[in-house]
Amino acid sequence: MQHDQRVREVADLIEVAHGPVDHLITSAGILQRKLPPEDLPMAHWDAVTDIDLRGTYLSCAVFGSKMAARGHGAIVNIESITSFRSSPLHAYGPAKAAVLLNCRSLPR
Amino acid sequence: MNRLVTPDEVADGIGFLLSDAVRAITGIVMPIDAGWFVWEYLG
Repeated sequence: MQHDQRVREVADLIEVAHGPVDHLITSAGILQRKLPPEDLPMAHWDAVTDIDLRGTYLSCAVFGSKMAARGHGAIVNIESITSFRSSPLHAYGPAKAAVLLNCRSLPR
Repeated sequence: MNRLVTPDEVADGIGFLLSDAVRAITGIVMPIDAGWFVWEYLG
């Protein structure tokens, strides 16, 4: 789900095989090592945000745009307690919090 | 409730959010957490 074109291809393949997708449930979340900021490699930070935030947004954008074009459909994003409060997960928490705001912002 | 939520309970909540019963609801955040948030607020 990190690769834009692959996600679009998968969405098209599902549509051809099964028809339009009315429901999307996102649950992407790779956990991170619990490290203080000075020890948390940015490559790890990037990997976590890439899947948890970017990948989730991409799925919502691809499948949700098709739903919007058809005029119906629903998406449920599974969040985390770290979407709401501070935690020592400095990549996972902000990524999950951002997904929550996407969930509020994307519907139309 | 003093317990963790189960995967089945999360699935039931998702089923509710995808059902016709909530066709006029969108863009909401609904805790399915066996009361963890309430617990915090009420101490």
